[in-house]
Amino acid sequence: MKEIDVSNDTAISTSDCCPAGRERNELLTELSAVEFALTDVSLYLDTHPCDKAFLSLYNELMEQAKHLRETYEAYYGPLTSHCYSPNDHWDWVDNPWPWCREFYR
Amino acid sequence: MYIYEKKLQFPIHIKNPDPALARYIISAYGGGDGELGASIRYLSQRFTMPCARTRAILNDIGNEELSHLEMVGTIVFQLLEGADNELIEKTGYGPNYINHGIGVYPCDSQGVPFNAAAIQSTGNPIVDLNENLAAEEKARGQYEHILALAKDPDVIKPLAFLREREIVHYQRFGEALRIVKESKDSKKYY
Repeated sequence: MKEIDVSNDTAISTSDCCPAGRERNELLTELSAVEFALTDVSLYLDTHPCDKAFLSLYNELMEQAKHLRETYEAYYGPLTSHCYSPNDHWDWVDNPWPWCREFYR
Repeated sequence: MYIYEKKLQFPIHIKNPDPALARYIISAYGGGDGELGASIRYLSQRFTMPCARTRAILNDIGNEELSHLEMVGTIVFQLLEGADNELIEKTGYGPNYINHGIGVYPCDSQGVPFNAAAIQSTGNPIVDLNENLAAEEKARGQYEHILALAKDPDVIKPLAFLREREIVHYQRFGEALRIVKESKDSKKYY
């Protein structure tokens, strides 16, 4: 029976080298910050759904998050398992996973 | 439904194993006032909330608590990973190690497994929202106890974030309670 080789299940760029023009850790930190702002504003909008100022802020943050996500996913791997996987490998499975020490530097 | 995002809500990178601290922090994972209780409490109560806004807020805060559960689990995991047997015994983690090794297991700092008796979901939104206000304060208090004993800045940063979120959730539940009371008090015109 063929032995399954799991040694290659690592994302292509786990180093700090930047094909995206930005270091992975810096990009991830900024994405996390913008998406956290989205979460916080969305909780406020849940109880104040007609607040125009916060709706406008939410939409601006969405634009920023969309751009950051696209960049991150293009170079560093999928953020959800519902992501296009163009290579011969199901990238979703790759290390590091978020609870691993190496995920954030 | 649920989709997982492959990142943490707040970055966590802990350099030094510390089983003693892991034993304190596990309470925020599977203790009565911890994130597992919070998630299941709100995600259970959301079914019987009376209006769109309160369904939304219970759903969304419940979701955020699952992200926090993941963060606390990550902190415990990184504090235990790489700890040798000598460190485990020296820091008093021995009894926990016997039962769960260096696994992340939902219990409190005394090793008592998570019990749903710590939460309530009654179908009465005013009762449930008051329960939630108390829950957020208990969680905040617990984080403050842990922060008083933690010295590692890598651990303090994410814990301080989690404490802040409890305060914000308290505000949001206060708003939700106001919404429910106002809709009960509003006169009906026939």
